[in-house]
Amino acid sequence: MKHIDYKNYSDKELITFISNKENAAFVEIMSRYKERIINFLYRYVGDYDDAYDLSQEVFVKVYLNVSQFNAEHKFATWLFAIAANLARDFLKKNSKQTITSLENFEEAGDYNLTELIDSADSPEVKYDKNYVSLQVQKALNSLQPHYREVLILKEIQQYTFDEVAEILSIEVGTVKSRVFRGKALLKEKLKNLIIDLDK
Amino acid sequence: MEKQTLDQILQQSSIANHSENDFYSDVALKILLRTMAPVTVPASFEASVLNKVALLEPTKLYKSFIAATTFYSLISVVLISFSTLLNSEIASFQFSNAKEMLPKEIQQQKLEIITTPSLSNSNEQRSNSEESVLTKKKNVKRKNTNKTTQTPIPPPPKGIE
Repeated sequence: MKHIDYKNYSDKELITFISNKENAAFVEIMSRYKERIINFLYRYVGDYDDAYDLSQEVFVKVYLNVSQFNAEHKFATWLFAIAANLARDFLKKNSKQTITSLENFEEAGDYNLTELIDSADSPEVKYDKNYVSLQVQKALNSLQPHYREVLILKEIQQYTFDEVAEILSIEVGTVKSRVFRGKALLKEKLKNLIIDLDK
Repeated sequence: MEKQTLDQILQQSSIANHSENDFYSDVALKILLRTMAPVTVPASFEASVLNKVALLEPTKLYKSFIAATTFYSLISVVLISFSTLLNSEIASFQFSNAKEMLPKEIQQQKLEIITTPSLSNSNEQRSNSEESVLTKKKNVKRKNTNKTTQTPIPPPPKGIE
């Protein structure tokens, strides 16, 4: 059996391999996108364990529904659309639990993400990254999900307005207005935070 | 990111918030969002997803079992319908042979009664025959009563007394 190096193939080519049940191609797709997907879901749901489970679900869905992928679109757009749908459903189903976990998030202190940060960083850098990340994450968590999702996709994942509209199946104009409003809310929340820091 | 850089970012954000220029505050926000520490994924991620997929996806054995049962059920349906058809053909053949073996008079008389097309017709026929029997009985009774009214008993001749 000949060895195929899947790293040289494009996403769409890998999808063809996956539809032929080639698991190595599926592993390659996962390794390309797992970091981005788990970060997106972590910013969205605000809990690492839930984000981890949801990101696994995303890739399971990709594998089982690979025949539904439309080759006219970008694979990443389809992947993030699956992730966004799963995250929305999760938040709807677990609205009470999410509120509790966010309360726990607040109570647990600002430095509970240390083990999630890249271990190559020095302790000081880890501390800084943790601090900023947690403050911004808190501010994001306090936003309504429809503002949160556009801000994560547009500002953190750096998708274009058109791509965000395609991922979330909404109009480009809606994306723009939500980004504008979400940023205003976020700035307001982070302004208070920064003023507190100055004291 | 160094501590100094972070302080600069926060300072910029702070300055931007105090000023009315949205441009700087937007930049500060973008920097804050993009400098969020990424969460890492354990190396076992791919393996655990593959395990989940293997559990959810139907196995080859299960697929072959489903295919086999579908095939045999189809075959059995075909065989059953064929045997039913054959039985009816045999029955009609035997009946036509038996009919030919009977004498011509009986063929004409009795077989007409035997060859009732369906059960519903036979029921109708039965009810009709029951009705006809009842009407016959009634007619007989009526006839009898008519007889009594129509043919009065003649008075005995006077000379006999």
